[in-house]
Amino acid sequence: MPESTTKSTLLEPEFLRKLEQLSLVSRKLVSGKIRGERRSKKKGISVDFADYRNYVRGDDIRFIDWNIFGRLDKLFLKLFEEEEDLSVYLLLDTSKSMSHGDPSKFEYGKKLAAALGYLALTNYDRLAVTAFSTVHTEQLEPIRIKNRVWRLFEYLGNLSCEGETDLPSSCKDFAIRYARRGIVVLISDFLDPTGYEEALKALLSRRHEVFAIHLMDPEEVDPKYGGHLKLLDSETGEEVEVTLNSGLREVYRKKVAAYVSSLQDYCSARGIYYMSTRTDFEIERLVLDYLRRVGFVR
Amino acid sequence: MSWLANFFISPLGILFGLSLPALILLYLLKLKRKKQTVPSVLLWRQSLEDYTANSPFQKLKTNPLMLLQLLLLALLTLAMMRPTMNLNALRGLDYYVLLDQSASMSSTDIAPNRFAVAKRKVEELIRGMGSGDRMMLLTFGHHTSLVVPRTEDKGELLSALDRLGIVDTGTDLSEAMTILKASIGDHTERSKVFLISDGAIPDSENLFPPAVETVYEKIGEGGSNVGISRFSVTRPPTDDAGVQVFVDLTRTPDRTGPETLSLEWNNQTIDAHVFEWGEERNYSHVFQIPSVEEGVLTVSVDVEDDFALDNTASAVLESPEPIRVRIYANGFTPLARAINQIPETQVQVLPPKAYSATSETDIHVFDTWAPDTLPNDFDGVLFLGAAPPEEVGVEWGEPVDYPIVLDWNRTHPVTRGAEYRNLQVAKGNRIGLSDEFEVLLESRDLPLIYSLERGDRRFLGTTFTLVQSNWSRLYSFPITLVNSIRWLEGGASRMAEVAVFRTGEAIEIDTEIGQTEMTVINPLGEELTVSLLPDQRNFFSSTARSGEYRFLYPDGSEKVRWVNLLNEDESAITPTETLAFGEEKIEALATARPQSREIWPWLAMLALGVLVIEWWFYTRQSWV
Repeated sequence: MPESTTKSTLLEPEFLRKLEQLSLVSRKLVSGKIRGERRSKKKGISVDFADYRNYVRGDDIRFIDWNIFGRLDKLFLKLFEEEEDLSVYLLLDTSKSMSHGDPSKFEYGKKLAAALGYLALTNYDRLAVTAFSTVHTEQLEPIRIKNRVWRLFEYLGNLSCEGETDLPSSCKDFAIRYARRGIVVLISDFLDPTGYEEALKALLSRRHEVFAIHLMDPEEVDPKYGGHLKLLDSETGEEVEVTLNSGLREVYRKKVAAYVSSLQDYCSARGIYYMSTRTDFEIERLVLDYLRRVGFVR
Repeated sequence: MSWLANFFISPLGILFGLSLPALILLYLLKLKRKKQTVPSVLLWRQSLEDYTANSPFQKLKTNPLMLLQLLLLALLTLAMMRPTMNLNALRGLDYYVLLDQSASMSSTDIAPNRFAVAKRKVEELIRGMGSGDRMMLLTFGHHTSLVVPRTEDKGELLSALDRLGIVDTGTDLSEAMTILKASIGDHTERSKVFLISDGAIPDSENLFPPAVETVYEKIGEGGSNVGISRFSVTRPPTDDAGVQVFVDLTRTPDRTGPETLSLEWNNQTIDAHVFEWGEERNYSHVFQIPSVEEGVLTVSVDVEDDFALDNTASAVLESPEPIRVRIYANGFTPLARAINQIPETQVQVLPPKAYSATSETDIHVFDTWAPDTLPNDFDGVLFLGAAPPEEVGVEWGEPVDYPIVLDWNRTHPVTRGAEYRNLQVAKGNRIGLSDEFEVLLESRDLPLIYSLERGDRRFLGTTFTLVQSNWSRLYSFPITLVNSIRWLEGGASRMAEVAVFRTGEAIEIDTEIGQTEMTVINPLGEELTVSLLPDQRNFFSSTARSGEYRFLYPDGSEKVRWVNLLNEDESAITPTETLAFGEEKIEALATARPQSREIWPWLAMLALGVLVIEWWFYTRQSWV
């Protein structure tokens, strides 16, 4: 693969080299269309011995263990673990609310998607990316080969941040479109007035292994501004008048903590892997250290 | 409204209270808010619902910011009404301020000097007067001046106070006490006396102030001083005796010396004396210098202390006035020739018919003749063999032939140094003398020479005439005659005393006949015109400042008099902590203040404090 095709403005080359040492971990074994680098529940053809079983007619005689036949005079068939490819789906929130912060949640999300996508392609996983908001829903059709990684970067680089969040309909559309089981990584700020429950349910309905990554801007968690303010919703344009004093600030902080906590509880209860991160947290540390520590990558 | 006027100087300040509804109106107006874009208002709306109540009435009621501001405006409204706090009653008090302006108040132990500090204290008192309060301002040095009668007008009081200056005199509070008693009368309950002084008040225990509350505010913090408290110059009658200058110095306890005392004659140092202080607070020294002519004799102590006024003293020496002697005799008398031998005498011989009781003569000599009445003005009278007028009190008796001298008084100034053993008298007269007379020379049957001192007048007499004795040929005659003239004039010490003037004392003005006006230039360089009463003794009394006074005469001549402080009480500049008036003792107070004072500045200060809290409260809402 030519070097130029893997160059990206999103991620540093050094980071990319480190990513090549890692792979995504699926705690549920999933079946793929073609043999890949993932263990499958199905016994098949590979170099890794799994078990023996009695030979029955129709079995491939190439897998008969002739050494055992010589000692026991019985035909046993060697079973090998079959390696399959893994479907990895990245869902990136591109609504207007993601544009806040420095770096913005959108930029941070794109980098995170690029890193995870690159990691998947390096391990010959099947990668599909969906960017969603009420304005547009763009797809990166599944790719599997690492030398197609430029398509991933190009796709992410062309994305823009606009429209409102509509998690339920976006996730439902995704579930309908991608029926094959796999790992779904949902990257969003989860600021949807209609809630996140329907969206996560839709993803679980297809028995995907779902990872929810909750992005938050530091200013969103602990606002630095204060005084007499007219707060303007970046997506809906809705206005709320507040006098932001220390009392209200404290109430808001608690409200944010409660929101994060309820999302986390919801995810835990349904086998969804949840992780929240602030955009001032280094993305390299997030992927190489934090995600590794929680077992999402290895 | 009249009730309001009792408490408030400016009741119309209540109009400022209109700002209270104006403030509420401001709160009804919408606040201009800054726009802030956030990712979503979802959580903000929920937070706001938790934090605030929706009722606008409740919001207004519980807004501490508005309450603080309402309090602020209420305080400012009160302050603008200028309320006063009178601790005693609604009616004002009468304050009597006695300000010490005596010489010791010029001490510089506190900057710039005690009098300036005292004026500031009085200014504070004036500014502290409440509504209805009145004040009378008096100053006292050697005299008391009523500067401002009782008034409520602070402007008048402050203006008069500003014009006040110090005087270089001693202190006498008795006049002030008299004025106070007359002014206060029966209103003792509503009166208060402030005595602003350093406490150098002599004989205060003999003063009885009016029975009102008296506050003594001590001015001064100690002070270091060496000063001349007494100064006298004597010039003995004989030319070769020189001049004696007596100086008495006093000191504050901190001064231990050594000190240098200098004597100057017309600004040239002619003698100096260095000395150490002993246990006593005083030190005396006598300079003995050769006889000097006219000029200014100045004694000074070379020190740097807190009270410079008493470091020098001066006196003007003039040629002594001649002793005017008028001899009344029939025909020749040996007296004239003998008296003329006495220096500084001016002798005039007149016949008895030229006698006038109103003539200005120092000594009258009546030789064998005496008038029926004594002269009006004289220092002494000598009767030689003549019966004095009846008012003298000598009973003139029968003649006695050849009285023999028995004894004489060898210590009396008249007979001292004379030898009367060879005196022979052909005929003398018996006399009757009361106890007030003294016999100087006596015979077996009668006194030959007698003397009498009555007030400042002196009498001398013989009971024999010169022609009926051999006395004029004896040595005792000129000796007795010289002694007699000096004794009759006032004695040797009196003759030699050089006039030394003290501040506050009157100076007698020598006038020419018919003179009705004189110009005097005082030490400040001010020209003062003095009206004179013809044919009477005239005095100049505006001697409150120490220094040189020049008396200008119409013919262009002038006389100089030097006025000095010379006051031991003023030189003792250490402030007095406790004043004793009669049996009452008054302790010095640190700060004297009227009890009634305006409290609006405190309200304004409180309002400012509330404003600061309000500012803190307001900004705290925006703190991150």
